[in-house]
Amino acid sequence: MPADLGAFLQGVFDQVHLWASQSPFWSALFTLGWGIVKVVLVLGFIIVNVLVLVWLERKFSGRVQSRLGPMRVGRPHGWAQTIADMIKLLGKEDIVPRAADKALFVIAPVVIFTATMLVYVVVPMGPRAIVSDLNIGVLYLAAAASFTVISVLMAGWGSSSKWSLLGALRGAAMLVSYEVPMVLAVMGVVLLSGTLSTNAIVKSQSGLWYILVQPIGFLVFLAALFAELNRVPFDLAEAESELVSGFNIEYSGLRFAFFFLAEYANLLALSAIAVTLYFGGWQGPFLPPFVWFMLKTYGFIILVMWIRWTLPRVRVDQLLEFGWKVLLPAALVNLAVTGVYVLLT
Amino acid sequence: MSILDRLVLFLPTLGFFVLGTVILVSAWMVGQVRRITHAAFFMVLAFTGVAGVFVLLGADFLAGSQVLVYVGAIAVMFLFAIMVSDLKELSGPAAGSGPGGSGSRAPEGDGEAAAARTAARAWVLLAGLVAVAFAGIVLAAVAKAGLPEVSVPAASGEPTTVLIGRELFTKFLVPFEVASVVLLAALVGAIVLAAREDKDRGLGEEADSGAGAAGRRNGGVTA
Repeated sequence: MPADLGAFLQGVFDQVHLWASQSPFWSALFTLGWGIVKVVLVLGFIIVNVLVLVWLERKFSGRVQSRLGPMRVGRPHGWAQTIADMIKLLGKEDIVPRAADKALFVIAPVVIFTATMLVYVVVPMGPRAIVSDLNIGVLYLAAAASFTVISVLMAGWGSSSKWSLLGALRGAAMLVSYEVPMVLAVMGVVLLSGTLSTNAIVKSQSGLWYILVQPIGFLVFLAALFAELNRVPFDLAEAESELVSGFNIEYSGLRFAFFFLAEYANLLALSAIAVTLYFGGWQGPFLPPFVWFMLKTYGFIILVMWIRWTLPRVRVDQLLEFGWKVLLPAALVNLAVTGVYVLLT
Repeated sequence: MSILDRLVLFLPTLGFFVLGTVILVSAWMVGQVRRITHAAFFMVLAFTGVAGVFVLLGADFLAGSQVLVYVGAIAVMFLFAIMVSDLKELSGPAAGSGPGGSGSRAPEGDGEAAAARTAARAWVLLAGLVAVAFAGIVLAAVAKAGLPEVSVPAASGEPTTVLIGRELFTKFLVPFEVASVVLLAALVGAIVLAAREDKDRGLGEEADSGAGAAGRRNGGVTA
């Protein structure tokens, strides 16, 4: 039945598309309408998954620390805890500090959420389930990450608080210095697949996952990913025990909800990108592509959470030294070796 | 073709004018806003607008690089420099040159303030003259060059990355490599200058108090 339904929807879609392509106006309207449908689908996907992820993180950290995690709201295992928390968060008073740079303070949550949404454009969830299969997919990802840095600085500066400014400066320094090894590591995958398009990278992994041919590249990517996600061991921008909450400390209510949503949406998006680049994306036997994609992504997220809840935080100087003296050379060597290999074969 | 169809075909042009307005206004605001951080963020907006124009032209690779390099690297460096600087020092000269700002320094003496104001006005005039002359030269050069009208190459079917890659590795290989060597030299130069300054300061401290330098170094690293 689901396959029939899919074929039916595809047929309807093709008919409407054919009809709309008769004139520029209807064609443009069709593009707009289809775009809105995609945005709504992606937004729904993000919100549902973020609710699950927050719950999962709390349960998982509970397991790691030999406790139960949320149990009261919703049985079994407090499944409704995040929903209750979200409703509570939306009801909170919205406070803008008097000393804050109001314009920057208000715009920052919007920018960070937009930057996260941008990533979903090139996440391939199935052979055709991708918002837009851009030719420059991987470059686009790096460019979208730039806006995250900007929004962190905006929030940190706009709050006019020493904690948030320190958090923002640390966060931006980390994001900038870890972006370089990350992009270089991903270049190895790009060299092997010969394309920047994310969907084409998935398709080129039908035989062998790139983690098996690019183990060093993957480790560099993984380390840089933790920096990009602001997670332990690289969570210096938030550093709860020293900076209270870092760059977003002055935010409350709905605006804080945006940061929170963006954080987990980013975790999901970057995990999906990691799966796309190194674990064959939606490819897999027997099960439908989307199921494979979700299984792999959640598997990767569990790995990220596992590392977060078992390792301590590094110091700023250790962080920068590790980035420039270990990750960058490793990524360069990996790129050079991959380049020679591609040249020879 | 109905009027609605014509409207749709006009959309890219409209998009160009909207983006152009955003770029020009934000570039103007960079020089106009009083807070220097706002100036930097307006610059980000201008850079992003330029990337938008590249998208309209079908130059997707260029748009991506524009955002990555200008927003992700250059603007962030600006913001860093601003945020770790002493803000009073940064806003000092700006307040003095404005017509309202010089009033705050009036206690020094009316004659002195008036002299400063005329000097500032002379500088503004000079800057305006230089700007007009430069614009004139550039416009004359562009008018004389007779730039060829090239249609957008994206229609050829090949992705822009392939086209750019081929050009970079054949025709423009030497200029490209030379540019990277120049950038590398600038990088090394910046590091040498920064390191020397640090060493000088460290030596000066050591002359004052031998024990202080080591302690300060540890503090400086973690700060």
